Amino acid sequence: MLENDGNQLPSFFFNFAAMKKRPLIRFFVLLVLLASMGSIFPGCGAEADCEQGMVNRVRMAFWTRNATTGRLQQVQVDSITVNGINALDNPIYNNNRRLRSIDLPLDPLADSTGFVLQFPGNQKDTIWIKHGHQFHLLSPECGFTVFFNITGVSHTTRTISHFSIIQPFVSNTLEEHISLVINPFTDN
Amino acid sequence: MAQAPDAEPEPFRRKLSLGIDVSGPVMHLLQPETLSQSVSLDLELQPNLMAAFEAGMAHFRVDNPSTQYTVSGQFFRIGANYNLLQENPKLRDDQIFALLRYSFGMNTHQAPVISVENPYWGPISHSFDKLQYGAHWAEVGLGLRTRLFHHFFVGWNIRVSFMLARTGDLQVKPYYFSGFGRNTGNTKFGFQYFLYYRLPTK
Repeated sequence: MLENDGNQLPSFFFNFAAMKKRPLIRFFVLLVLLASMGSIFPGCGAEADCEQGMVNRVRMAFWTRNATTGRLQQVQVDSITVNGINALDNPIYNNNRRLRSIDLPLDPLADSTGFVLQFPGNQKDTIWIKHGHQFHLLSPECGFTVFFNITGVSHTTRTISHFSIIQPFVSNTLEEHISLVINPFTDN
Repeated sequence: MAQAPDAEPEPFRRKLSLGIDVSGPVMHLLQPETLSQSVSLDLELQPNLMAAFEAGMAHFRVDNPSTQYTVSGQFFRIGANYNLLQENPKLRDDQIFALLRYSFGMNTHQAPVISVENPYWGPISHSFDKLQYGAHWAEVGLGLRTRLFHHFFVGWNIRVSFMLARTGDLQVKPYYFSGFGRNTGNTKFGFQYFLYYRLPTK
């Protein structure tokens, strides 16, 4: 037997007498069921943007000390060529002009990645970035990518004066990770 | 007209309900890579206050030529529901309740195939065997429950989950925590739709 105080119709959906007694709760239970179905289905058509974030690069910005004020200021480098060590015939930047920063791919299979930076006047510096890595599934559609954690930097000092690590975690958000303070260029 | 004498208040009877979450299997139809199943048990300790226990398991699976990755886990929640409508015979056991839970889950994940394209350093192939990880989190929420017929009830609840702690290996970031969801951020909103069976009480 039903336990509905004299409203003997067995079905929840057709028991209008009972619904009058408890309209609000039943209304909300059904409303949420319908709303959840409506809110779930539009999401099915969403396509993942896999291009962004598959190769996560470390961003190095160029800074120099202002001779007058003594303060650091971001600068453009007139031209720069960058190669990865072990991949010297494959430049990442090839005489690129007027750059305030460079975005460099770290080697996921190594503990550190080296780059040769060639500044104006054929002045070359080598920089080594020591890093850990973490495999990260972006989404079922996009698959895995690799995030990095910068643990140290070393460099030669021909043009690069010093550095500071601003954000050690390298993921798919482009932000300044390392500030490279370079010596002012002199016109030859 | 003479007023009827007040009826004797019914003695308190503990009510025990078993529930099954049907939102997990429904979501599996829409997101085939994820399957979460859980059951619940709640016992009315005193009028309007119910002890609640939930247990479940979840699987997440990606299988394509560049990625084979699986997560398996179990989760448990323990806490209480408090009926905000209070005991009212006219409502015939309908409830609007606040819920509070402490939850934890244990998982393993493994990836026999990981292939990552890297246009500069070349493609990377990697794999890892079963790694264990876990999580502890707290949940607060609000729910509704209404009688369908006989001892059967239906209801839903919305919850906000707050991650308290994660444990596990740092080499591979877990993608999914059973009972909590995707591993993005420390706060999650959740929704569950339950069918309940209340055990008859004498």
